[in-house]
Parts: sequence; C-alpha cells; structure tokens
Amino acid sequence: MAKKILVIDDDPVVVKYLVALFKNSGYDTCEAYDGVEAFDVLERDRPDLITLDLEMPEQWGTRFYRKLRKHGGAMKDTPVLIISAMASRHLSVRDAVGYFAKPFEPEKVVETVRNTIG
Amino acid sequence: MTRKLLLVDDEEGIRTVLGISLADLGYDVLTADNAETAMRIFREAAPPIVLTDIKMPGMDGIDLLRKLKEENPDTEVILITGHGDMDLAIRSLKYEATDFITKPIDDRELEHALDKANERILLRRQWRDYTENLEDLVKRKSDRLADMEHVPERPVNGRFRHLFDEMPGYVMVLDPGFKITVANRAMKEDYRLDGATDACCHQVLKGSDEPCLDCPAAHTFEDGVSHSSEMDYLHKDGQSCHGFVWTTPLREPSGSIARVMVIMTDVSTILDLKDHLASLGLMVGSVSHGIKGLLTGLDGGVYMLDYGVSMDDPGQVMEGLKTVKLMSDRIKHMVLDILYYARESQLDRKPVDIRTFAGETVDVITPKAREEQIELNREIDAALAGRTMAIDADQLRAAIVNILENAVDACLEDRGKTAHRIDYRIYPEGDDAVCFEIADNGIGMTEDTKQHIFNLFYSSKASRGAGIGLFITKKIVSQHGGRIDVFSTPGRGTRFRIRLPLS
Repeated sequence: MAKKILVIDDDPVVVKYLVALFKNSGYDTCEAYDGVEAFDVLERDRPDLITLDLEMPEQWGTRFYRKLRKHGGAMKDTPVLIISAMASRHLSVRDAVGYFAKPFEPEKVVETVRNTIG
Repeated sequence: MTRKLLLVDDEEGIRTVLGISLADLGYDVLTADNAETAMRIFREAAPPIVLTDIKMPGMDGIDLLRKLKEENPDTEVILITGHGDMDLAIRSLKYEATDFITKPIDDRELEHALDKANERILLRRQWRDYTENLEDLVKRKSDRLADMEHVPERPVNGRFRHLFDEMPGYVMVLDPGFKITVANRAMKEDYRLDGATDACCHQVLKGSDEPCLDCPAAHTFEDGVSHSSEMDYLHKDGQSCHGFVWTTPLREPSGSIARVMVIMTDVSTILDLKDHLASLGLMVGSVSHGIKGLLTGLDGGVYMLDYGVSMDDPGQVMEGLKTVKLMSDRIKHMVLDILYYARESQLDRKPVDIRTFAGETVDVITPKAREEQIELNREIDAALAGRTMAIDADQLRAAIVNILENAVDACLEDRGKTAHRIDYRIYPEGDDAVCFEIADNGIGMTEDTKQHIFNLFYSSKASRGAGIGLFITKKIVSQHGGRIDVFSTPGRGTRFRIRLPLS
C-alpha cells in the first residue's frame, strides 16, 4: 500500500505543487491549510509523513509541531519535514527529519521522503 | 650733523699740520697728545671719527683703537702708521679700524680714508633708519589686522559684504541676548527682517519668546567653542522644516565673546530621503519572504508542466500552465509595485468622464472573473452621466484594479461556497463626491487582519506577493484627496469603499 503524506501549507499554490510532486513519485497525499484542519486530517487519514510550512498565520507552523509532539497521541512521532521560507533549525522544531528552504529542489525533497518512509 | 673729529698724535708738528688740513676739509678738530687724554675727550665730545698715530708713548694706537671700540663700536678709527709698522697696520684692521694711512701723509690718501669713514657712517644710519621703519611698519599693519578681526559691529564692507550676503543658507550674527545684529540677504528677505527691528533668533525661527532649550549659540557664548545641532524651525511660509545649525564665536580684541555667528542649512529633503531609504531597506527585507513564495509557486507550475509533457499527462500540463501564468502575473505585479514604491510619484491629473473611467477599470478584471466563474455585476449610476473628475487615470485605475484582484483571490480562497460574485458599484455621494464600491462574497477577513491590510508589508499569503499593493492603493486614493474604508465578515465576504471628492 502506498505511503501517505500530509501536506500542510496555507498557500494553495504550494500545496498543489507538493501534492503533484508526491503523487508523481508514487505517494498518496492529503492536505491541510491551517493548524486546526491539520489535526482533523491527521486523525482521519493517518499519514506516514508530514510536510509543514512554518510561516503560517497565528504561528500555526510551530504551534502544530509542538502540539503534535506533546498531544499527538498515536500520531505523535510521525516524521515531519519542514518546507518553509526560513527553514533554519528552529529550536522548537528540532526533531524534524529535514529542513528545506523555499524555493526547494523537488528531487531532494523526494529523496529525503524516500529515505524516511520508503 | 656734526663733523667732529678727534686727532691723536704725540708730535705737535703733526697735530698742527694735519689739524689745518682737516679744518680745511670742514672738520671740527679736537686734539690730544696721548691716548688717555684722547679717551677723556672722546667720552665728553663723542666724535664719530678718530684719527690716531699708532706709535705713541704710553698706550699705543692699537690699544686706543680697542678702547674706542669698546666705548662705541660704531666709531670710525683711522690709524696713522710709519714705514716699519705694516704688521701693526694689519693688526689694526683686525680690530676693525676703518683704514690706515702711512707717513708721510698724502692728502689724497687722507681724504680717501675719511670718505670711507663717512660712507660707513652714512650707510649705518640708513640701515638703522630702514630697519626701525620696517619694524614700525610691521607693527602698525599687525595692529590694524588685529583690529579688523575683532570688531564685530564694523559694517562688513565692499566685497566681504557681497560674499556674506550671497552665502547659501541662513547666516546671522547674534548678540548675547540672541538679537540678530547682522543677517545675510537670504535671511533678511525670507523672514522680512529690516535693520530697524530687534528680532531675536528664536522669535524669527521658532515663533517663540524663549530661547531654545539646547541653543548651540548659548553654548558657544559660554565656552567659546563652535557647536552644532539639528533643529526644527519655521519656514517663511509657516511650514515646519528641519535644519542643521553651526555656531562660531566672534571675539573682541580683549578675547571675550561679544557675538556668535550662526549658519543654518535646510535639510528637510535629506530627512525625507533618509526616511524613504530606511523604509525601502525595510521593504527589501520583508519582500524576500513574498518573493520566495512566488518563486516556489512558479517552480511548481514549471514542474507540473515538465512532468505533464514528459509523462504525456495533459491534466498536469494544463495545471502547470495555469500555475505558471498565475505566478508570473503575480511576480510582474510585485516587481511593478516595488518599482512604484521605490520612486517618488507625482500625480498627473486630467479630467476624465467618470462613467467611462469606471467601465474601463472593471473591464480589466472581467476576463479573469469569467475564467474563474465568478459572477461580476457592474452598476454605474446613471446620475453620473456626463460628469467628469480630475484624476491621474493610470494610477487610480491601478489602485482600483488591485482591489478587484483581491476580491477575485478572496473568492478563489473561499471553499465554503459554490457560487461566487463580485459587485462593482459606482454612485455619487451628495454633489461633491463619488464612491467606488467593490464587494465580494469570498473568504472575508478577521478583525485583526482588517486592521493590518493597509500596512506596508502585510501579506496574508506568501504567493500573493509582498503586500505592497493595498499600501500603494491607499496612498494613491489619499493623494487624490479621497478615503478608503473596509467592511468584512470572515466566511461571508468583504466590501471596499473608495470615496473621491469631485472638486
């Protein structure tokens, strides 16, 4: 069964891009445009990996990450890939499996995903 | 002028004969038969010339020579020598004898020696006169120069007045009470100062009866050193301007500071430029976030296009192409906005027919709305028929189109409704204003967002650009004397209303 990736970004153009990228690479996808929606989708679709944008309104980038790790229940250890305009190693997201600054190189993103979930 | 001469010889015969010759030559001759007597007479009468025999009993001529020179180094001493006295003669020259003549005395030789003595006396006097004169001249000139530097109230005459008057900026001279005692032409003309008024600097430049708190001129009066400062001051038209001020002390000959000169340059434009550059710098920093978003979007479009073509997937090709067009359009907007923001823009107002202008403006967005299946309603009030307004059509159109585009985006982002529409209404308000209203039923915005949308670098989504658009829109509306209001409900929609005066 194909692995599933949850794409979280408030920018629909970027979501469209990542969804196409992952689908073309043989993954299933689901998407969310803010932190609240992200938890719903997380619960419902149980993805194997999450890509997360940090620059979202109301700090939903870092907020989502912290909440995931603390209160994520069964999903709390899901690997997270940061794809963000400023993708430096934020202290608050220090366990992410990768950091990609926008604009990113699609092959590198796919490679990291493959190395993480296969 | 005395022609006194002292003749010293132990032989009476010589004294008599020489005495007569010398008297013939016009000299007032004093005689002595030995050196001691000679010194006594010399001290009393101070003859400028002494004629003496070398060989005498007692003190000889050489010793007398030395003694005479000790008394008065300027004395001209001529020595009379005998044949075997050449050595002595030469020694006499060493002791600065004027000349020596040999016995038997030749009249011509005598005259020659005397001429030499007189010439030396004359030269010495001229030289003395000359140097004394020179010292005196230098002293007088120095004193005069010092005087010129020190007296501040001396009217600045001739070409210095011209220079002073033509100096750029404002130049004035203040007394310790800050009264303006002298002012350059620019200052006199701009502030309508005439010689009669006793205006104070702070009254003229600040409209205040009190001196400024940190007045640099006051500091200079206290410590005698130049000071500088920045200050706001009143322009001749009453506007507030910003200037740099330098002060310099003007001293009396005694050294005390009677006056202070103040030089001021207006730097209001430099301050404006500084502000503009600072905000440009700010903008570049925050624009980078928006630019990265736009570039990522463009990458996405190209990726899909590329993949779609190589995998023969027309669906992805279409998606890719659509995204590329959208993103490159947004990039274009952003670049134009940045360029617009970076330069100072003036309005070029011309009268336009209101209804024509309104129609042309909404026409810009019509194809896009149709493509996105957004219903676009236009209502241009018939009461505006034939009415015109003086506007910069290009800039105002860009401002309104920006709002229309935002409305389209708001509809696209809203996934809560299936049917979207934009209402474009233009109507008069009273006799003197016209309103442009753009309402959409898109995603709407929160109260928090609404407060920030006109801020310079606010942007809701990175791929929507830098967020300068609404800032510029508001600026253009303001420049036309208008105002812009926003009403919005999250999930329901947003309404922008631009009100423009018609005068």
